[in-house]
Amino acid sequence: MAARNFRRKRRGENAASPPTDNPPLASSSGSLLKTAVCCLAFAACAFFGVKTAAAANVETEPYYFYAPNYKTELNSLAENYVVNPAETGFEGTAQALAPDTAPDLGPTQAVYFGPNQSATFQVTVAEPGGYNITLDYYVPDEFLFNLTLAAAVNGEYQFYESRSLDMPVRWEDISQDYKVDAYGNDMYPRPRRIYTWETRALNSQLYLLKTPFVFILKEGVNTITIENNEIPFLLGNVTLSGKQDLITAREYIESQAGKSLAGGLPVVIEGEHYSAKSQSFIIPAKSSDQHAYPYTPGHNRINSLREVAWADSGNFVEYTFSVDEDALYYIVMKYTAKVQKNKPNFKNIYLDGRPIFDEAMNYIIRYSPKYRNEVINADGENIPVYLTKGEHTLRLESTGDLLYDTRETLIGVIGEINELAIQIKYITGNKADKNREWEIETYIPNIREDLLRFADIMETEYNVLAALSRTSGGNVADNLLVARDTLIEFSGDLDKLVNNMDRFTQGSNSVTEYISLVLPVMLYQNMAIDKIYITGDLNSVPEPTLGFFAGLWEEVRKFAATFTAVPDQAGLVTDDKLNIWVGKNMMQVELMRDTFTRFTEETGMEVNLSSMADEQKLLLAVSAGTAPDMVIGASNYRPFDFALRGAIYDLRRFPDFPLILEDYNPEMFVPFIINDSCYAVPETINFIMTYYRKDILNALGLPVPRTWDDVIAILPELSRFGMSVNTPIANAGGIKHFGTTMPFIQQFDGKIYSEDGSRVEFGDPNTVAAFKLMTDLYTRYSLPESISSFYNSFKRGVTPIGMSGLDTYYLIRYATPELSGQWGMAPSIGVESGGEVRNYQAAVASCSMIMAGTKRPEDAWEALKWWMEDETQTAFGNDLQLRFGSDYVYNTANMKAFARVKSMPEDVKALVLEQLANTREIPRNPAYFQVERALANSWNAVVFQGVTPRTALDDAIILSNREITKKLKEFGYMDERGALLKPFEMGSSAKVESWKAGGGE
Amino acid sequence: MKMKIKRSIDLSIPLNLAPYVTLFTFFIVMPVVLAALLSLTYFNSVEFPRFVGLANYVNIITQDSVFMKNVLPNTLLFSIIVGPVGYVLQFLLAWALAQVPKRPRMVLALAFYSPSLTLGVTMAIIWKVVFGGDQFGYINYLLLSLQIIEKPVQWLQSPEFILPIMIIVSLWASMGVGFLAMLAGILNIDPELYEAAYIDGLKNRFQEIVYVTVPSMKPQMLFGAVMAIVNAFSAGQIGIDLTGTNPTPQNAGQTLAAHIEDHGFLRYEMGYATALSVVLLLMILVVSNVANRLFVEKD
Repeated sequence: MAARNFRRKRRGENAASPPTDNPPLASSSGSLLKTAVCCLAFAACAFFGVKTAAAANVETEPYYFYAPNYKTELNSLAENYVVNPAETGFEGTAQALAPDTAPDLGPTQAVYFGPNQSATFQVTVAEPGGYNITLDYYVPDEFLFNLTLAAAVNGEYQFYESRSLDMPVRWEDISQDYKVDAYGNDMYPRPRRIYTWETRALNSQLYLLKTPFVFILKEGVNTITIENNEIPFLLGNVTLSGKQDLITAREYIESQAGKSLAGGLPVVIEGEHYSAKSQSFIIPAKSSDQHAYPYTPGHNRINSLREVAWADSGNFVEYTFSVDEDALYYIVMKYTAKVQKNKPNFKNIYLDGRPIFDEAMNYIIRYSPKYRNEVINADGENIPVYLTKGEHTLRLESTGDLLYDTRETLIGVIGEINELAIQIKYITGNKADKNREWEIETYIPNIREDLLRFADIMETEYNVLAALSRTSGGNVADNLLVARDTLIEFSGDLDKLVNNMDRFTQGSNSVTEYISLVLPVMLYQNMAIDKIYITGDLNSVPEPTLGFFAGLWEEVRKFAATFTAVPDQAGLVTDDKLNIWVGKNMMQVELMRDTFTRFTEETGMEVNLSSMADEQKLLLAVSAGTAPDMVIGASNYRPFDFALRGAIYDLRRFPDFPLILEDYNPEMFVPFIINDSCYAVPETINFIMTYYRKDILNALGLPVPRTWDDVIAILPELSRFGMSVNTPIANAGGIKHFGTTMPFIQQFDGKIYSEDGSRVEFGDPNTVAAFKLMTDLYTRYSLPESISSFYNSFKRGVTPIGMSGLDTYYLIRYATPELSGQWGMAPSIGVESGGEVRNYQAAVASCSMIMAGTKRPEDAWEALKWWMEDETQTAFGNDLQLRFGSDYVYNTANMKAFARVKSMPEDVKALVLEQLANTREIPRNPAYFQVERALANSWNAVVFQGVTPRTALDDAIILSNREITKKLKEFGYMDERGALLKPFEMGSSAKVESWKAGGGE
Repeated sequence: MKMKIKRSIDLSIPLNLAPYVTLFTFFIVMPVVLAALLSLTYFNSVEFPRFVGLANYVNIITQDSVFMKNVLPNTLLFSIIVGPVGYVLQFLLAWALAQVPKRPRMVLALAFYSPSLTLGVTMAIIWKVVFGGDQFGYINYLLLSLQIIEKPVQWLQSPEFILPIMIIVSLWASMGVGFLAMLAGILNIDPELYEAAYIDGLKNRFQEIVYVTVPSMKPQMLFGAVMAIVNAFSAGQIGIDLTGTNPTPQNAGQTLAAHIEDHGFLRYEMGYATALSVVLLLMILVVSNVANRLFVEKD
């Protein structure tokens, strides 16, 4: 691994390069020049890694890739050093357990670490140098997330990753006798912890390096500090080890010379029958695939290990099997790996806890869209393993070790390119005159060499990746060649670079974009396993796929089965069970069915849950009289329309209705209120927050805006660099629905409807002011009116600040690894009034309601109450993540349950809860759709046609009032001549509060 | 004398017609009759319909400002341009293709026909990217780099651009089944007719079209005309797909079909929507009558 010779300027070495001279100004008075130089120097320093007071909480250690540890060789040790801190003594907040109290340890002592506790102990080594640290640990309880801890040596963190080291535990399926649901499909198994002591070397959780993290110790006495994060655990022995030499395949074969291959039938292990797994959400896959086993046409059977469930480095599965004789056996894996074309996947293969031989580490699993049999081999030669009679364990573990260098190098290059881009923009400003010639080399002398150096890195890394994939043909790594060609083109013609900055960074076909396309793919080691054969005779292993005709015949059978099998969809309405339609996807519905078995146990009521793909079906079902008893997960605008027309049940008729209000923000019921009735309960929420790029804002020296005035203040600086701010209005497309426009009015405390609901009050001065701001932002201040994907613009740095919903949060968190640590969240932007910032936003996403045509309203009410309870909601949210992975999030509206779910880190959750406390929902009126459209059309008229805001608002008032009158007449609130018979009261949180207290009719 | 005349009821004719008649009744006649009946009621999709007489029709003409200001003009403009213009384009393209030798003709015909197959969301996705509103939309990007505009234009949100864009996209996709029928018609004309016409004094190819080609393929022309008319009048989905919303911003792209969907499914006014659809039916009937007069063969 040749040391790369470039500097990573984000962290680590302080590159004290002098800032470049700014171009001579037309009017250069001496002091102006000096202040300009100072500003430039300050900004350049802030960006080039010198820590200023403005940047708080900045870590000072380098990443492992740049730390001296990475290049340090491990010492060769005759014997490992083993230390048990409980016995040799330690300092810190952790506690030593008495002998015989730690499970499975007998008299050996252990140290108990609670959350955020630490222990510092000493080790003495004879030689200075590099050592691996291995811990024996035990996690006593079942938790959603893995144990993470920090390790410091001699009082300092030697590299950034040592602040958060992942220590996995093992799980198993409770039963691999899969239950079958009402439609004949297998159901996913439930996971359960395996409580044993685990041993693990401290290693990278992104890559799982072949050589675990090297810690540098000095000669003699060293102190090691272990700090715990959230999950309590027990620590046993700490082992310091040195270089481990693995035997090569050649040596292995030679050592087994003279032994014979086994006879008899192959031992067959099903890929889905793993005995242990490293994460709870590593699950099998189910489908109706004739090439896999088991298979039933027309039904989904669990037949293989899910390809993507264990794709992250460090995840592993273990298989236990036994053989009859001491002999040589081939290990054959029937697998498919089809996520990315021609991408290799790497696994470590262990037998009985140890690597078989050197080539079994970073073992390459080639891309294969169809099932194929892979015999464990080295350099093309199949290598049988020697197994004694009895039980053995095979472990397959995902690793990204071979990609470590390449990926870290590429991330570094992206950082450097971004810096270069900002440097160029300092000089040229934003809208470059395309015909101007820039003498850019005068200002940035090394630019040509830098560009060529980047291109060189592209080519080198491409060759590395191409060598790894060992196939010809298209590959995602080809993007690096495109990047290289662009860089070479730019180095030849620097003016072209300046005039086409969006091909350098920020655009969708920019160099940085091409590079970042390759990054996430590299970390993913996907492999679906149907079967594993342990056999002495390779000819006894069956073909991986059915032949052409046999496969075709099965397709015909499956097609025929589609006519007979009952589809798992809404429509199955039976009389004996409570029928619930759910507006969620199939995996969540399956989990709900599991969850509801507890309800059936408690109350004896059988429940029939089905997935409702399209809400229109609900409307048609109501007209046809085949509606279900209740609906969970309907859109938040449905209940109002249905209630007006008498299609759903008034929940206030149930005497214990006030109890359900306890756990919720009362504002969230507002959309479901008509007069004194409440027709639905909120189920899930969305939150609108501000997202910002820490690196860009720091480089430009801008604060995070809290109010719209702040936004306007930073706009000039942002647009100097071609950047802007995202707003929900810009994301909304054609119709600017209420959630994008109403918050402005509410933040200005403007009136929307009159008290009696008979007209709109857009003429209110506050409302006019709000509307003026809403349109000024786009006319006067030129915020972009249309941003199709905030996530993309955010990633590329085009909109480094913006408000958006929770989808964006999960996208940024999970889909952009290159941004980790570089972005943050803040409360949404609001309006200042009387010393505080009003940043109301609507929150309710989906809701649950009971249909009026139900014959069992009390039963439906029981089910609804039970489902929306704090316990059930928390369990469901956690279960979903446990079973399917941390990206399956469930954002419940039950505020108590929301505070307990583990889907986001605590600090983010605190911010979100603060925002959710500021929820303001939009009250509903029978003509609300017209009001929404009128407001959106008025905005459109002002922004695109230059109509004055007040005139446009007047048009909106007229249209809305007309429609309101029509609707109120239709529903009997007004008589034929337009006189108000009774007021249409809309919801408000005050009303909900009064219900809580038991008041109101 | 007794004559035994054996009468057997010939069942073959009714049996032959039965499938067609059944399907026609159930899928064409019944919906039209039901629509006509529903149009005389107040029906909000949930409660049972309530008879109100001609109130819906009165409302269309007197109360519905969107109908008068936007929907009717948009529909007529859209249909006149996409209908006849599209029709003429189809004919010209079919005629041009007929001159091309066989192999290239097949490929080109496929290329022209395929857009009409990809209607709906697929087409909207492509065109949304072309007409995208930020600086990365293709047209915006092109115009910005040529420095024709300074700021990205909101093609799909500004009211003045929506209808022209709908028309352009529909014309692009209008080479449908009618086009293929006309191509077949032209190719089937007996070449001897042309020779005879040239002998009789035809001077150039334009006269050839007018005097020989068009009269010889009147049935295909009629078919093409009816298809074009029906498609033009019932096109509304394209506006909704492009702008992403129904109704389109400021009702700029609102056609009768979209208006019907709006009232029927989004506003829960099914009775009113069926009245609108009856109006649409009458409009189409009138126009296709005209087409009939033009193209039906008079023996």
